[in-house]
Amino acid sequence: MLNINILFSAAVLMFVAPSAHSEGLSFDGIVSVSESAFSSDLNSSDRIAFNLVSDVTFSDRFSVGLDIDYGQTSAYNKNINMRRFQLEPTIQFSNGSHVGGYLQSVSFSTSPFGLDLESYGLFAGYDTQKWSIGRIRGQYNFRHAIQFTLVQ
Amino acid sequence: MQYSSLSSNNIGVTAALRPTDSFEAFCRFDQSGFSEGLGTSGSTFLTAIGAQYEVQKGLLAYGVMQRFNLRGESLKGYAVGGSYDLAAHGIDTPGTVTLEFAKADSGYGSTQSQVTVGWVIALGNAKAHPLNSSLRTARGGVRTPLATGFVNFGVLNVLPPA
Repeated sequence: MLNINILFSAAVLMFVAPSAHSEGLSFDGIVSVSESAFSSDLNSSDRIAFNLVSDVTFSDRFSVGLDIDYGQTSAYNKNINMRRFQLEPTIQFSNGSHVGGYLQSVSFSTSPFGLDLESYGLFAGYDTQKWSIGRIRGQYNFRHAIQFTLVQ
Repeated sequence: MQYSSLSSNNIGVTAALRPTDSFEAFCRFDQSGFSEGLGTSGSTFLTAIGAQYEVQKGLLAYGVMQRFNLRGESLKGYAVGGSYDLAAHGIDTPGTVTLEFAKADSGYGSTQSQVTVGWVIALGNAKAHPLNSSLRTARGGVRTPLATGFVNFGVLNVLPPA
């Protein structure tokens, strides 16, 4: 089973490694902060989010994708926290194809409910300037927990 | 504390077509099948199709239609949005501002509207585009349909309160 702390540690290393030194390493990414407002006939709420999508490139042939997402939704007078990490080591081939693997950990928490989704798998694809196609296959484990509190 | 768990297999495909430098159409299909745990079985689907058009340098418009099915309960909706690169338009502020309007209908009659405003910074050679958006998930950026549904659909808002 994946552990969100392991993924987070790996994410920190991913940031540190390219800035440390070494030629051939590069870091490219996108950082976003955003706010969403929801309204429905059931509820109104809002969400703030931080998102990072990045690639650490080690060579022409090998890179590791790193995503970090954090969101907090306020709904039903509660805060729902979401954290997501994703690591994707990818090998690029000179003919435009690529293969890789992904590790993803998502957790939600709001009292008294918690939910963890941990997934891993493989993907492959082919890219040209005009079109691209990709395929993914994986597995995930889903666990939720309910905290019962005794009121005296 | 009471725990429950289940395992699932996931399979999906993505495709994109770029007939010109400024236009791209894309689609995604993901399916997960639950076969054990909790004494239940079922499937989760995510289907999305969309297109983006770079109107001019630094100005992007996009539209996405998507359907998320969680064990028989269906959410379907659309999103339209755009991004505006401030520096490319002579504004002395780094980053790209994004705006998205999305609407989703649940299987039991509730409708949700969502407006998202964002600010995006590109690092290195990356090209800025909206992240907290349906554009990202429709292109396959978040793996597995269940994670996508919760991360970007606001699923919690159109499901009835527990």
